[in-house]
Amino acid sequence: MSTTTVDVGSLPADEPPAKDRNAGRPGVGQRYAGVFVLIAILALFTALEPAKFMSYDNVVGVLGNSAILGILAVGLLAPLAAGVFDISIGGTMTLAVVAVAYLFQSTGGSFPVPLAILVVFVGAVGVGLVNSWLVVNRGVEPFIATIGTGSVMVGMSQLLANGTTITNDIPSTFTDFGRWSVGRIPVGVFILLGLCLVAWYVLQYTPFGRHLYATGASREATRLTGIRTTRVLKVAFVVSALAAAIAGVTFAARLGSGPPDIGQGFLIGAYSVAFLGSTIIQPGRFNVGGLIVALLIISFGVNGLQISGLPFWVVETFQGMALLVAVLLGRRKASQTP
Amino acid sequence: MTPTTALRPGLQATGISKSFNGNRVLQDLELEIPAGTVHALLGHNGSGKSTFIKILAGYHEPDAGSGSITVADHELVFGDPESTRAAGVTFVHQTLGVIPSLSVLENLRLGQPWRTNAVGKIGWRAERGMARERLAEFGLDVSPDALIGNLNTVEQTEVAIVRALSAGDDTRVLVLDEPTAALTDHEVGKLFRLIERVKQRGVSIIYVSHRLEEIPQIADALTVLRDGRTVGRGPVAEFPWGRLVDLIAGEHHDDAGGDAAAPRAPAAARDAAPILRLDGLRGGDLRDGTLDGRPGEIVGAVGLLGSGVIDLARVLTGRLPVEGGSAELDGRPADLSDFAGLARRGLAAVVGQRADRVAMSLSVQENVSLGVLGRFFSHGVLSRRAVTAFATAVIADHEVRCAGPDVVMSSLSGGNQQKAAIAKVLATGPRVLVLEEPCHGVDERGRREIRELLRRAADGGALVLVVDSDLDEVVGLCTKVVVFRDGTAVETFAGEGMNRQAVLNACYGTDEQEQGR
Repeated sequence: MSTTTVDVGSLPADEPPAKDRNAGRPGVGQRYAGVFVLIAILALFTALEPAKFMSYDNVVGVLGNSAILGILAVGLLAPLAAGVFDISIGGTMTLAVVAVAYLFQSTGGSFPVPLAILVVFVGAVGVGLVNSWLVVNRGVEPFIATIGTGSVMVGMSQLLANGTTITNDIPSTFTDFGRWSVGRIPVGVFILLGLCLVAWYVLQYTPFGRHLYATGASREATRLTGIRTTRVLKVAFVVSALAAAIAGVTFAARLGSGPPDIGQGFLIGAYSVAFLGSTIIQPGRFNVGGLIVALLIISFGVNGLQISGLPFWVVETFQGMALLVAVLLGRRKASQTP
Repeated sequence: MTPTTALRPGLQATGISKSFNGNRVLQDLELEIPAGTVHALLGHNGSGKSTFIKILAGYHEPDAGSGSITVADHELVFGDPESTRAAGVTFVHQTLGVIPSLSVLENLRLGQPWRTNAVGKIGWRAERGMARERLAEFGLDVSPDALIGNLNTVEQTEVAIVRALSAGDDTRVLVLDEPTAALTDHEVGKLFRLIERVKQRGVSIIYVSHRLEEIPQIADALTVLRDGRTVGRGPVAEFPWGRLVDLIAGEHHDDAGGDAAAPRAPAAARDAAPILRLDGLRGGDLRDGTLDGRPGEIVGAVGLLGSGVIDLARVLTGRLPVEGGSAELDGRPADLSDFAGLARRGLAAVVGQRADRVAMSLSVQENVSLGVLGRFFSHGVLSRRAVTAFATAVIADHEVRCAGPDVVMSSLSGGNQQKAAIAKVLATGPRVLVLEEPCHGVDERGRREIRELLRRAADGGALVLVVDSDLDEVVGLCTKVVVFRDGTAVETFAGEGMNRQAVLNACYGTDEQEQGR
């Protein structure tokens, strides 16, 4: 065979395929490490504070508090799976909280509750479309674009709320919905479970889910397979904005008021949950099962530390460390793949 | 042509050989380049030119038993880039390595310490003055404050050359790798005036180019490499045009076809209407992309580096905007900016960049099924079992060697990734398949298998368009070859008239040159 065409100046020569049968497949230990961490956390704090930690009240309380964070994080799965950041979810959630309360306040509480929720959702779709327009049509870095839109929405929330928390004229039908519970498990938990079910179905069992992951893995290879990656990204941004609005409405209904500064606090937590979740069950992939485990690790971890006497600063410290651990785990995995 | 100064020793290389995996890619290379002369290094892709340059740079080590390389009587330590640098050898690659968003001054100072005062402030005025002086010395009319990105290509090349030399006036050898590939004739003349100035400083210049017509103008002597062997060496005057092309091309025997009877399209294809018709397509370096192809044909679009042929693939896949001309798919206008829309009408593509062909972090089955997931989605559920069964069949059918359909794509070798990429788009049943350098960087076995896949696709009634800068990839495979030069489709070969020599001549523009003399 002629050697004329061997271009030694180009890529490395064809290396033989990996001998190891399991090369390119995650091991069981790797997949379920996060589950073991969760069990360890539960066991540790049960041993340390048996009376308080494992009480029904405490468990239900933790679940209720983590539901909002979970709703935000599950929506975030869409853009993250498609390989783009959406930092605006904090701003979207804040605006949703304030906007729904504002609708009631400005009409003296007579604004129909379902219509108010619908208005907020339609607004969220608009936010997602603006984000997608900036990223897809104008080519702005998603990270920067959504920091911008997020900040604008925080500012608009403060404008609507006039700098204070809106507490007037919130109809009782709205707060009844927010405080509805089954066996003291609040409504947010059920909304989260419903959304998780939908997300799991879409990601696992529909072509669109595959398109999301493929777009995240290589946008150009996916586009050249004939898939409209621009549309995939548009849907992803709309999904994360809608989830942020759902989180905001649920939060406002539970609280019965509209504080203009609430969403940003959830942002880091949502990213910690999503990234930590991407190292569990299906490592290297943003997945629903991993997200639930990660949500429980962070929620029960923070709760256990607080019960054990650590004060207020533990929340963000623990979330931040979880995010860093997740990213480092992801990096280690990436460097192992040839 | 010969410098009037006495021939001071410049670069001398003796007995340099290099093998990769037992494959001899460079054999007993001898080079002698006196100071103040230009030596052209010629040869086709894979002839060993770039291997020698990488050995000189200290990137590769030559085989044991090789001779030596000396620069101004100072012997280089093989495999040690620092030794090469210390000896005063610098490189300007085709990509130039300038940073468009920085100024000329900042680019000139890249990699060198700035002159600063006691508190670490850069002495901008002094720096600017020195840069201006340096640029004037070489006859460059650019401001030190101009952004590199705002300069034209020849000015960027000139700045890159001045930067290579301003590492100190101790530069002994300057390697120019395809410096004119992206330049117009007028710009080439401008660049040559700079090279003359560099020569006068007693620098030995190694000049690598595919543009043979430039060689008599700029080089004093030349070396022609083929398959790693030196097939011609001496003063430029001894090598008239025709002899040079013969030496570069050589006798060629290729198992895959080569000069054997050219493949012919099936009779049915010759009668069918063209499914793809490009007329005067423009974009990037492509100035006039005109060709057509019928179902069942394998069409090769080929041209040397810098011929703009690769940009044909980029324009067709929406990676470069269309600046003019028209494209028709199946008799209807094709909007090349909407790849997904064209994909529905039967267009498929496998591009040159590995990371853009397949999703490396997804599994093999997720990749090969990506374009046809709809087939496995029924009653609201994507059947994973059906996907796996499909992928397993595709893997076997296309000889993709991997540990299983569920392993990640990045665990496969380059050739197998490429076969998977082709299998992925073939699964969508394309009517037109565009491939950009499909065998680039693939070993011989993989290359044979890829060619076989393409023949099968054509036999199945698809038009296969192979866009390549290496003619050995298309001659013997294609039923028709369109040669591109200066961004323009200049000649078409098919049937009896198609052989390697004729295509090569067209690539270099030999016929016109000979008529011109």
